[in-house]
Order: sequence, then C-alpha cells, then structure tokens
Amino acid sequence: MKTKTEQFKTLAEKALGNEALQEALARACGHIGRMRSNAFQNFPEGETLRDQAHRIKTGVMDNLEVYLQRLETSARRLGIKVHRSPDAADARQYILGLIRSRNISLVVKGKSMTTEEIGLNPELIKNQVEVWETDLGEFIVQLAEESPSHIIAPAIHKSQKEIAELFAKKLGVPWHDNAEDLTMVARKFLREKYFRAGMGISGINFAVAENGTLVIVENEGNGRLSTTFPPIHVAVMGIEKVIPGMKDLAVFLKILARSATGQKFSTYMSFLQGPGRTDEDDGPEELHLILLDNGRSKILADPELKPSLYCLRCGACLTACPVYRRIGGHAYGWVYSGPIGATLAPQYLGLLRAKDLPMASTLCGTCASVCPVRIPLPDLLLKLRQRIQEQGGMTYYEKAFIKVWSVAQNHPSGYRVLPVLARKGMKLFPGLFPKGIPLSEETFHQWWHDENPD
Amino acid sequence: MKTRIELLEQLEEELTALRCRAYRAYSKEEFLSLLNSLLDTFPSPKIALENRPWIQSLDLDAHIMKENRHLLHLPSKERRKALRENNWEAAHTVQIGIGGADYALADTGTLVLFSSSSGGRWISLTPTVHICLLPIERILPSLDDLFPLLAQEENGTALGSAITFITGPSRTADIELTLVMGAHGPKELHVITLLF
Repeated sequence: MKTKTEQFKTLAEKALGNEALQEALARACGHIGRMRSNAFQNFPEGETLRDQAHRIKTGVMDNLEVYLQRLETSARRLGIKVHRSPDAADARQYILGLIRSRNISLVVKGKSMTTEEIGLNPELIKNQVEVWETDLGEFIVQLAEESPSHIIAPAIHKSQKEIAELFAKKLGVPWHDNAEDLTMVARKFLREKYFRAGMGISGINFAVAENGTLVIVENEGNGRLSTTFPPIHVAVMGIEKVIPGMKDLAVFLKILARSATGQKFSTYMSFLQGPGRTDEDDGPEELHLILLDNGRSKILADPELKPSLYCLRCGACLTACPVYRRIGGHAYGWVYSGPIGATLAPQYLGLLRAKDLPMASTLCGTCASVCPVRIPLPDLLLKLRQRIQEQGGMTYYEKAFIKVWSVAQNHPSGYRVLPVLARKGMKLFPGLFPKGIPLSEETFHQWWHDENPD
Repeated sequence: MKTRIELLEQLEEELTALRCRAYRAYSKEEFLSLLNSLLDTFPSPKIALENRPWIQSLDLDAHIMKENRHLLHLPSKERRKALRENNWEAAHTVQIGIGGADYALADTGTLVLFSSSSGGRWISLTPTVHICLLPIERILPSLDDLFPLLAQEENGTALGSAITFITGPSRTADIELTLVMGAHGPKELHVITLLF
C-alpha cells in the first residue's frame, strides 16, 4: 500500500464524515470487543498468562540473535531453506528470484501483514505474476483495490451491499445479497487457484527456535490450502516472531485467539515442520523461510521503545481504541493502524513523516489493558511525542499551547481561569473546535461549587 | 482427574458449541450403521478414505460401498507423485473425507492430526464434509497434556510435515461479521468417538 501517514488529519476528518464507515466501525468494534472481554472473563488464568507472555517476549528481545540462529539451525534440519532479508527490497527480490527461476505465473497468498508491509503484491503484479489473496477479507480488499483496514478483519469497513456490487462487477457473478452466498462465490473462485498456483506465500504467527516449527493460526482454511498444494511455500516472518520453545508456544496460543476474536483457539493451527514428505500425499516440495528485519533491529537497539516489537498482531488494541473506533484503519495511512500502528509508524517511517499518529491518542490506556503481551502502548506513544517535539515536529501554535497549558496547570488560579477562557473561546470561534461536542451549561468548577457550597 | 467419559462429555459440549456434530459408537456394528446413515444424507457422495492402519483394519471400503456412492481410489504406489500429476482435480471434487484423529483436547474441542498418520493433509481440508473418527483413549484434557507427548517424538519430526489442530468447521465473519461456515475448508465437521 502507499504510505500516506502525512495526510493523517485529512484522512481522519474524511473518515469522521463517512456515515457508512461510522456505522460499520461501531458495530464491528463493539462486537469484537465484547467477544474478547467475555473470553477473558471466563478464563481466570488469562491474566497470569499475559504476564508470562510479556516476560517471554522480553527475554527473546534481549537475546534475539541467539534465538534467530537457533531457529535457523533447527529449521534447516527440517529441510526448510532459510533466508535473512535486511530490508523489504531484499525480501521482494528473493521471492521474485524464486518465481523467475521456476517459471511461476500464479501465486496464492495466505493472510500476511508482513507481505503488506514489504509491498509484495504491487511488485509481483509489475512483473506479470498473477497473485491472489485468499483470506476472504483480504480477497475483498484486493478486488476493491484497497488495503486492509484492520489486522484481523481486513474488510471491516465494507458493507455487504458494497461487497455484493464488487463481486458482481469484478467476478461477473450474479448479485448475491447475503454473506453466505458471497462467501461461497469466493470459495469457488479461489479453490482452483490453490491447485494451479506454483507458489503459496504466507505469514507466520510463531516460529519455535528449539525445533524449527512454524505456526500459522487462522479460521478459514485458506492458510492451510495455500501452504499445502502449491509446490513451493514461502513463509515471510518478521524476526520478532521467534519464540524459544514449545512451552512458550502454549502460553501464546492460549491468549492469541481469545484476544483477537474471543475464541478459545482459532479454527486451524498448523504446526509446519518442513516440506511435504515422500510418504505424504501433499505438502509443498520446498519450504522457504524469510526472516525479515526491515527496521526491526533499529527498534531493538532502542531500550525505551523495544516493547513495540512484542506485538502478536492480534488487533485487540485497534478494536479497543476510542480513536480507531471513530476513524478506522485507513486514516492512519499505513499497513499497521490503531495504537500499535501509531507506535510503529514513526519508528519504521521516520519520526516526522508519521508525527501526527502518536498524537491521535487520548492516552486512556484501554489499548494496554487489552494487549495480550502487555505492551505499555500509552507510555510508548508519550515517548514518541516527546521525541517528535524534540525534533521540531510541532507547530508554533502547538508549542505555545503546551506552554500556556503547563503554566496554568501549575498554578491554582490558572487552573480555575483556564476552563472559563476555553469556554469563551469555543463560543467565539466555534470553527476552531471539533464539531459535535456539546458545550455544557456551566464549567465543572462552577457545578462543583454549587453542589458543595462549603 | 476426570474419567474418560467425563472428558468425552466435556469434548462433546465444546464440539457442539463450535457447531460440530458429535456421535458415540459403542460397537463396530453401531459405528458402521451410524456412518452409513450419515452418508445416506448425501444423494450420491464422492468419498475419500484415509489409510491409517486402524482405519484400514475397520475395512470400511467393503462396509460403506453402495451403488450410489463413489469411493476415490488412489494408486497405492507413488501416491504423492500421482496425485500431483493427475489426480488433484479428482481429489478436489471429493465431498466427504473420512479420517482419524491422533488426539483430541477436551477443554477446547480441538482435534489434533499428524500428517504422518493421516498420510497428508487434504482429507480434513478440501472436502465439504469432514468425518473424523476418534478413539476414546486419545482424548486429553488440554494442550498442556499434548505438548509433552509431542516432545517425546524426537523433536516432533516423526509426526510428519504438519501437525494440524482443528477447532470446529472452517469459518469466516469477514462480511459484516456474519458467521459463515465453510469459508475455504469443510462446512461440516462430524466427530464419531469410538468406544469399542
């Protein structure tokens, strides 16, 4: 996708004015959020597991290179070909090289945010390779020539009617007005692709260093199909996805699906341990694993921001965030959105290029309260704000405002007078303030004073 | 510690919540009549059978063949090559896949399949209906009871190229959060527990 983080304010404003999007977001985020909280309410050990998950991730990041080397060795022992990619261009080149040397013209893809991150599809299309996203949400987004707007529900922003129109137009199928028929259209269309494709590309949820197991978690089965039938399977993973052992895997598996969709386990968890064997009917002839850095080492070297690499990509912080709930994923202008996207974008893209994203948070802390690995997201966002300010990423007015604010907050008289002034300002210059926030009749101070005359 | 029957009850409860169908067969006769009546609900099904030893010993070929049913016969030698070269189309029109489970996890309603014992991955994946046979002694309380067993198998490599955990039929909710079964994998998952 094209990075548009600089246009955050315009995109967010547009999203706020889009009624259909507002409705879709309210419904989807409300529903997914409730599923998550029910799942944890019925799972008392969940809180301890989240602590454990945080500790495991901290340990991995402190010794990442050791675990990566261990993973390489054990994956090679299983017959997996391992390649390290320092950046996105190298990963794209490696995949393209495989495609060329084997004369592949059709590629199927299981869901992978990492391949979105490296901009793989445009590169493949540019090189005349037919490529199909097979996750239903990703497939819809691909047909619409858009990008995913949520990590686990990529087409969260599209209504059934829009999807019906899209399928009729792009696939030439009759109009279907229910989700089941539309799903079957996609199922039928994609089914033959798995058998014809020369390559299947997927992401990875976890890679186990001690024995080389690659774990893919999904609900639809498209991940299994894409990694079972094409003769070559290429798995692309960010280097932070390595975990030490199977014991650790158990911890993550118990909290991942609960955090993402409120399920105990997702429908399919595939533990891949090498290419298909001669005594098995299927499975790929070759399995390639790309270990992608693409800026991760730089984050790793930053002791304050390191925890942003703990992310499992479950999407819980997006769904929970009051800002994401109103503006959706596209407004962030990058592959990862919501609180985690706002944390990662300035680190991957440059502080000033994504300077508005860390500001788009109320710092209410809901994101941290749902994160399965307890990433302290509000702390990270605050640190990023500070660094952006240090790099001159704030306008004169923003700096002036903060100065006045800090003076007023430090003096009782200022603290009393500021709300009065603010109310006056809002009445005099209504155009300067967000629409739709009603002004109360009196300030909180006045109300408190009236209620408690002593 | 839960008894076998208690574990089975817990598993059945989870399976039902996941929209699977759970059955019990207390004898081979009961199993065969159950399987046959299940197959009868499909007009002229094309069926594929997994060939793990204990399923072969049930001699299902002979017991379920009727004139309106088609059993996919795959070459016994170089099956992998043959499938890849000419039989994938045939395999992909199979509506019902009958196979076994290596383990089941009671607390999550999960079936665990080793590709080494199922001879591959497709029978639980491409058919519209997956009928899974589960010997009752293979039910474990949870994931924590399974992992030590996997570790015993020499890094797990004896288990094949894929260990697949199946928790319910294939599903999606990508269109307005409407739950649809059979997104890409099986729409129906029937689990028959064998108590004989």
